[in-house]
Amino acid sequence: MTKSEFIAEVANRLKFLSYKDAGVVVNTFFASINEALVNDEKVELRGFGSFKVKERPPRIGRNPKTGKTVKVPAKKVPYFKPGKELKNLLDA
Amino acid sequence: MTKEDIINRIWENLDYTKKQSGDIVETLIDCLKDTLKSGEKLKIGGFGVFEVRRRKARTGRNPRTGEKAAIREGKTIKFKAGKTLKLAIDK
Repeated sequence: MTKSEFIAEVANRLKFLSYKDAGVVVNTFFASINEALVNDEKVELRGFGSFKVKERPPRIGRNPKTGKTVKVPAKKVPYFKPGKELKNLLDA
Repeated sequence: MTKEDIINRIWENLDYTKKQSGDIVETLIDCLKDTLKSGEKLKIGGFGVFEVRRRKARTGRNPRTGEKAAIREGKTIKFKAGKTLKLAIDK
């Protein structure tokens, strides 16, 4: 499913939302999560899951083609942990 | 940040009542859940991709006690952040 299909589904479920309005709302929703993560803030959505930023330490990697070792710098990566309710829903 | 903060943001910036803003966020999350429940992949441009993946049964270990525990086969969700988000976070 793409974002536009997702927007259509949201609009379909809420009578007071037109497709255009739903688009604005969906974009605002994901933009809020984006911004929080960029600010290193954790986002907790009850019933769904939580997003947070994890720090990866620097490590010595290896170029698999040449076998040469390379330094891989530390970096931050976004991470999603599904909540209990979502997990149960999938495993039902 | 919690659901409440997102509700407030929609309420303050867009033309909806507090009640409507709450309904919007709940419906959005329900849509996310229902899509993933159906096993469908969900691609949100500018954000990332949610994908349902099979998890094989394996023997895990309780990290605190060291006891072995069986982890049964099931499904989990893999979230892969999009390029824009990744770059914005790792600046």
